[in-house]
Amino acid sequence: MFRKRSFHLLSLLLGAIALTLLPSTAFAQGGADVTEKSTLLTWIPFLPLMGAIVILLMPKRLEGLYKQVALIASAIPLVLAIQMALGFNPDIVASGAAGTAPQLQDYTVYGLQYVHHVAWIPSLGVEYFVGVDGISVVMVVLSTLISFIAILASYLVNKPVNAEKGYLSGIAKQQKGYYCLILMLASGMMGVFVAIDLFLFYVFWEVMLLPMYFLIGIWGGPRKEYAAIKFFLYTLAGSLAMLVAFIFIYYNSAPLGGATAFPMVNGETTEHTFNIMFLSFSSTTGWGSFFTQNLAWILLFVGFAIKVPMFPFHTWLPDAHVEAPTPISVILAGVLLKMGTYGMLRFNWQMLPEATLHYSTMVAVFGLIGILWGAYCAMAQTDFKRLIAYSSVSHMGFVLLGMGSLTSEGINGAVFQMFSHGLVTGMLFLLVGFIYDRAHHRNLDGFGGIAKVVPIYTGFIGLAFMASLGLPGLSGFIGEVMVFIGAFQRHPIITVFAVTSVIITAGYMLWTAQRIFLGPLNEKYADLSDMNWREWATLVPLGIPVIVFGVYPGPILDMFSGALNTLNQLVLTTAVVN
Amino acid sequence: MFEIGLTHFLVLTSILFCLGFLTVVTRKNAIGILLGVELILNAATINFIAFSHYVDSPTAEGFIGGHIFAIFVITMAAAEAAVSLAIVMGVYNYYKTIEVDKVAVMRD
Amino acid sequence: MQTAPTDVSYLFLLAVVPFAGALLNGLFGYKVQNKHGKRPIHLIAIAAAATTFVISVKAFLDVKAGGPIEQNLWPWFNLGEGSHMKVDLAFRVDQLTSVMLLIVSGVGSLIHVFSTGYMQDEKPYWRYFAWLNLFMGMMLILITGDSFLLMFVGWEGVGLASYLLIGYYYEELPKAQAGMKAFLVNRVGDFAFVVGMAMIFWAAVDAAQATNTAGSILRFADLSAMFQNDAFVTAFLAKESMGVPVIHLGCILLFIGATGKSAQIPLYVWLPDAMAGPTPVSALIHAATMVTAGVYMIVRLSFLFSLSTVAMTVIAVIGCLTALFAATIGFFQTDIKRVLAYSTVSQLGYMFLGVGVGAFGAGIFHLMTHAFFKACLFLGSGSIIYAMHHRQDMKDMGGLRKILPVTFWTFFISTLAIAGIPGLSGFFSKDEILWRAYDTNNLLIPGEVLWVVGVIAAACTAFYMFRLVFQVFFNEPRADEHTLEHAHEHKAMTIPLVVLAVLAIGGGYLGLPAWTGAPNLLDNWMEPVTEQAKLNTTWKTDIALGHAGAKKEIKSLDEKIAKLDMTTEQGQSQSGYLIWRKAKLEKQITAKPKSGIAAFHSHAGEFVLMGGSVLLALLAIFAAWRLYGRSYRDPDNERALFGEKLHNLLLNKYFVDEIYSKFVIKPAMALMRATYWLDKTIVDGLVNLSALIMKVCAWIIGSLDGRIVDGLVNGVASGCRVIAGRVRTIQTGRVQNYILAAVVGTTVLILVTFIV
Repeated sequence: MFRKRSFHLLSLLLGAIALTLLPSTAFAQGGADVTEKSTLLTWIPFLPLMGAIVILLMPKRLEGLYKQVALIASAIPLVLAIQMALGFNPDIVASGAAGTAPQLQDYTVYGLQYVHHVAWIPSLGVEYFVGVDGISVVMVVLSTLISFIAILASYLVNKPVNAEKGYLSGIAKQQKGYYCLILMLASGMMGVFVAIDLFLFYVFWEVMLLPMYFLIGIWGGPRKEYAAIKFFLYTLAGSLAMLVAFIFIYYNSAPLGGATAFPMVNGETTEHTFNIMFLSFSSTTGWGSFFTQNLAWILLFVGFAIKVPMFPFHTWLPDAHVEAPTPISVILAGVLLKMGTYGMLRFNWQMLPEATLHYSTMVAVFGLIGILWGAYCAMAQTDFKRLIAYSSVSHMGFVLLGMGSLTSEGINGAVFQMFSHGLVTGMLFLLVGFIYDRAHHRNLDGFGGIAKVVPIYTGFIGLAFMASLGLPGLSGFIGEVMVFIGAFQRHPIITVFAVTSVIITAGYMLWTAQRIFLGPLNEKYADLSDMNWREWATLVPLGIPVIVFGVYPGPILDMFSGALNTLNQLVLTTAVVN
Repeated sequence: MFEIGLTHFLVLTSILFCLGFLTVVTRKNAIGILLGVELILNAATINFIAFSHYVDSPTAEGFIGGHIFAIFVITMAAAEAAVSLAIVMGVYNYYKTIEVDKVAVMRD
Repeated sequence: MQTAPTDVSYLFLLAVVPFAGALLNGLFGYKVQNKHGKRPIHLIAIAAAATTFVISVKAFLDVKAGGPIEQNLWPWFNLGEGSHMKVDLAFRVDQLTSVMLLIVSGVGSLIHVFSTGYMQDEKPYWRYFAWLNLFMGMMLILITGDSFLLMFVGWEGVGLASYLLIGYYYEELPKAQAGMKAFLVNRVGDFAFVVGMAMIFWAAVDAAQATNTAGSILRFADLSAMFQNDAFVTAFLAKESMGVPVIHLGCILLFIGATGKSAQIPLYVWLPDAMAGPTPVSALIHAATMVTAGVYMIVRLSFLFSLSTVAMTVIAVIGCLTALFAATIGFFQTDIKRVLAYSTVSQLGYMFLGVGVGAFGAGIFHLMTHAFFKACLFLGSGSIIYAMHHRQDMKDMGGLRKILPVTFWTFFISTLAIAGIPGLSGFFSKDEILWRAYDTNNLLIPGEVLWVVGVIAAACTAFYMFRLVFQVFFNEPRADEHTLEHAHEHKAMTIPLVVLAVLAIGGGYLGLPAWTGAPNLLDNWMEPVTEQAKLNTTWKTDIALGHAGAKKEIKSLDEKIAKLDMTTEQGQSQSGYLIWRKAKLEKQITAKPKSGIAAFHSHAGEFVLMGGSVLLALLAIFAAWRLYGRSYRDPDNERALFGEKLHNLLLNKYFVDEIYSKFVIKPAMALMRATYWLDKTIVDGLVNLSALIMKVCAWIIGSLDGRIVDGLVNGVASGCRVIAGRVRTIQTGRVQNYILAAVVGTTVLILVTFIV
C-alpha cells in the first residue's frame, strides 16, 4: 500500500517537473514576441497524443499509472494554453480588407499569433499551419481546460470513490484503451481550434470523431451502441458535407490583389490553396457566381450545424449524452458543440461573407427555434442528463442567434456564450455524474429533498443552475444579454420570442432543483454522502471562472472583441461592396 | 543391286516405333508400358544413327552429332529404366499391383 | 441642474461588505454555529448590515455636501471601437439613491436585529443570515448600480435572494414551490425588462449615431444627459419598433418588468405566496425594499417615462387598479400575513399611481413611508406569530392587546398610518399621490377618475387593516392556554418595532403638502433627479394659477443667461443648459388643461379633497369597528354577513391563480409535452427513419447484389463448372489415353501441314 502510494506521488512529482520545464522550453523556441513563429501551438495538440502513445507502450503492470500520465499529458497543454492566452496580444487583429494580395511575410495582417508554419504536402498546396487569433485563443483555453477536467473526472470514476458506501461506476474496465482514446480526442479538438489550413483542420476534425465513437460505444450506458452509431453516422454525414465544401472551396480559390498564385512557406507557389487566411482575405471576391458561394455556404453550414447541434439536427445529442460516461459528456458538451459554431465563424463567416449576410436571418431563426425547442424539450424530461443535454441545444441556440444578428454585441455575446456554456455545462454534467455514481439513477422524480443531506452538492448545482439560466453576475448572463441586445437591433421580433426563453429556462431549472433537492427528504437517500475533495477539484476550476468572468468579463471580451468586430465588419462591408 | 539405304532404316524404325507405341497404349502392366517406351526410344536411336550416317556430310565438323545423341538416349534410357522400375516397385509396395488402371488416386 | 459627480472610493463596500458577510456565514456558518453557537453568526450579519447603514449615511452626507458621487470600478462590457456597448462597472449615489440607501440599509439593519429574536429557534440559522446578507448586497447593487445592466444584476440578485429566503423552509414542498413561483413570475417581468432595455438601446444607438451624440447609452447618468439634447430626443421619439414608437413600447416593457418585481397586475400573484418565507423576510424583501424596486426604476428613468404619455397612463391605471383590486382581496383573508401581503400589493399600486401621474417625488415619498409602516406591521405580525408559536391564522389570536403591549401599540400606530389618518406618515404620502392624481395633466385619461378609485381603495385599506387589528388584538383571546402562558415579546424584536413606529409617525413630515406652506423637503431634495421629468409634466393647478412658478423661473433664467460670461468655456456650457431649460418651461406655459373643474385645482381644492378622503377612511374604520370591534367573526360568519358570492370571490382572490393555472401553466405544460413528443417522434423519428430507409435500401441492394451482380459472377463460375464437368471426362488419368491423344494429335497436325 505504502509503496503504491509513493509510486503515485513520484509520478505526480515527475509530472510537476515536466509541467514547469516543458512550457519554458516551448517558449524559449518561440521567443518573447507573440508575432514570431513558435512551436507552442504544435505542443498543445500533440502533447496529449504523445501521452496516448506513452500509455500505449506502458506494460499492463503499470496500469495504475495510466491516469497519471493522462492527467499530466492534459495538464501541460492547459498550462501552455494559459501562458499563451496571457501572452496573447488582443490589439493584433486582422487588418486585411478583401482583395489584398496573399503574403506570408507578416502573419499579423491576418490577425494570427504564435504561428507554426511548415511544409507538408506541397504538391497539393497543403501545409502544416497552426496559429491563433482572438476567436480561437479562447477556445483553445476552453478545450485544454475541459480536457484536463474530463481526465480528472475519469480519474475519480476509476476507483470506488467511497467503498464503504458502495458506489463505483464508469471506467473501471480497459483503462489503457480509455485513456489513449480520451487523449486522442483531446488532441483532435485542440488541433481543430489551432489549425489554419483546411486540410489540417479536416484531419484534426476526423481524428476527434473516432475516439468519441469508441468512448461512447465501449464505456457508455445501456443503449451505447445505438447512441454511438447515431453520433458517428450523423457527425460523419456532417463532415462529408464539409469535406465536399472544402474541396469545392479549394478549387475555387484564386489569388487577388494582382497575385497569380498563392505563396507557400517552402518558397514555392500553388495555384489553389487550403490556407484559411488566404481564403478569407484574398479570395472573397474571387468566387465566381453567387450560386457557388451559396452552395459552399450551405454545405459548410449543414456540416457545422450537425455538430452544434442546431435544430433539427440535434437529436443525436441527447442520446449521445445519456449514454456517454460523465467525462465524455463533459467534453462533448463543453468543447465539441463549440467546434460547430467556431467552424461557422471561421469558415462561413470569414470565408463566405456574402452568403452569410444573405442567410443571417435564417441563422437567427434556426437559433430561435433551437432556443425554444430545446428549452421546451428540456422541461419535459425526467432524466436529469437528458434535460441538461436539451438545455445545451437551447443554449447553443443563443450562439446562433447572436451570430445571425451580425452586430458587434451579438457576435461577441455569441462567442462569450460559447465560452461560458462550456464551463457551465461542464459543471452540470459533472454534477449529474456525481449523483448518478451515488444513486445509480438519474430519474428526476426518484429523488426529493436531498438538499438536506448533500448541502455542498446542492450549493454547486445551485451555482451551475443559476449560471445556466443566466443570472446576472455569473458568466451565463454576459453572453445572453449581449446576444439579446445585439440581436434586437437586426431581428427585433425573433429576439422578443428568444427572450421568452429566460422564463422557460428558469422554469425547468428551478423545477428540476425543486424535484431533486427540495421538499420532504426521500428516506432512501438519507445517508447519501456529500462531495469528496476530488469532486471539488473538478468543479472548482470551472466554478471560479463562472463567477469571476461574470463580474469581470473584460479579459475574455478583450481577447476576441477586436477580431470579432473585424469579422463582423468584413461580413457587412464585403457584401455591400459586391 | 539391293543396297540397304536410309529408307530401310526408316521403315524399320517406323515399325519399331509403332510396335512400341502400341505396347504403350494397350498394355496395362507398368512394366509392359516401360518396355514399349524402350522400343520407341530405340526406334528413335536408330533413326539418329541412320540420319547421321546418310544425311550428315562426313567432312562436316559435327558429323558425329547423331552418335552422340544415340549415346545420350541409351544412357537416359538406362537411367529411366532404373527410376521407373524403382517407382514401379514403390507403387507395387503400396498398392500391391502394377496395373496402371488401379493406380488412379490423382485422377479426381 | 445635476452637478457633475465626484469620484469616491468607498461605494463598492456597499456591495462587498454584505457579500463578505454572506460568504463568511455561508461557507463557515455551519461549523461556527455548531462550535460557538448562534452569536457569531448574527454578529457578523448585523455588523455587515450596520456597516452598510454607516456607509449610506456617509454617502448621504457627501451627496448633500457636493452632489452625486460615483465610483468606477472597471470596464465591464467593452466591445471596442465597433460597438456602442461600453459599460463600466460603476456605482453612483445621487439624491434619489441616497434616500433609497438610507431606507434599505436602515430598515435592513433593523430587520437583521429583529431576526435574531424571531429566528432563534431555527437550526439553519447561519443559512438565514447568509441569505439575508446576500439580499442586502444585491439590493444595494440594484439601487447604486449606474447602468441598466448593473441594476439588472441587483434586480435578478434580489430575486435570487427572495427565492432562497421564501424557500427557507424548503422541506415543506408548498413553501419551496412558492419560492419557485416568485422567481418564475419575476422572470416574466424580466423578459419584458430585457426586451425593453434592448429596444431602448437600439433606438438610442440609432438616434445617437444620427445626431452624433456621445455617451454610454446603458448608463443612467449618460442617458439622462443625452436626453437633454433636443436633437437626440427628436430622433429618439421618431424611432419605431414593430410599428409602435419605441418611447411608448420600451417604457411599457420596462414597466411590465416593474410589475413583476413590484407585484402589480397582472404579475402580483407571487407576492401573497411569498409569505411562506420567514416573517422578517416578508418585512424586508416583500414589503419594504425589494418590491419597491420597480418604483425606484421608474423614478430613476423618469426622464424617459415622462416623455411617453401612453406609458404614463398605463402605469397610472395599472397602479390604481392594483390598489383597489388588492385591497378588496384583503377583506376576508384569515392569514395575518396574507392580509399584509395584499395590503403591500395595494400600497405599491399607490406608488405606481404616483409615478404614473408624473409625481415622481410623491412615489418615492410613499415608498419611504410605506417602508416604515409596512415593515413595522410585518415585524409586528412576526412578533405575534412568534408569540403564537408560528400560527398565522387569525382564528387562533384575539385579545393580544394586553399580552403583547409593545407589539400592539406599534402595530396600531402603523395601521393608523396606512389608513391615512392625519398626522401620520401614510397620510401625507397617500394624500400627495391622490392629489397629484387629481391634478395631473399628463395622461390620456382624466385624473379625476384615478382619484375616485384611489380614494375608494384608501377606504378599503382602512377597513381591512382595522378588521385585522380588531380580530387580532381585541376581544377575548382564542389561543390555547399553553400558548398564552408562553406568549411573550422578545427584546430584540420590540426595539426595531419601536424605532419603525417612530419613523412611521415622523416620516411624513419630510413631505408636507403644498397648502401648509411648508417646504416639501423630500421633493426638493430629489429635485436634481426629477427635474428633467418635471419639465415634461404639467399640472392643472399650475395652469389654473397661470403658471406663476414657471414664469417666475423663466424670468430668473433670463437674468442668469444675461449675466453669463459667454467668452469662457464654462459659461457656454452653462448657457446651453439654461437655454434648454427655458425652452422647456416656455413650452410648459402653453399647456392647456385636458379636463377638470377649475375650482378644485387650487390649494384650497387640495385641502377639500383631502378632507373628503380622510372622512371616507374614518367611516371605513367606524364600519370595521361596528363589524369586528366587539366580537370575533369567523369566515362562516363573514360569509353570512357579506353574502356568499362576494365572500367566495374575494377569499379566492378573484380566482386569478386558477385562471393563470388554466390559461398559462397548463397550456405551457401541454406545449412542452407536445414539443418533446414532436422531437421524439418527428425530428428524431426522421433521423431514425432515414436510418431505417438506409437499412431497407441496404437490404434491397444487398439482395440484388446476391441475385444479379453476384449471380453473374456465380453464373460464370457455374458455367465453367458445367463445361468442365464434361471436359474433365477426357482426363482419364490413363497415360495411354494421353499418349494416344498426343500421337493422334501430332499425326493430324502433320497431315494438316502437308495438306495445307
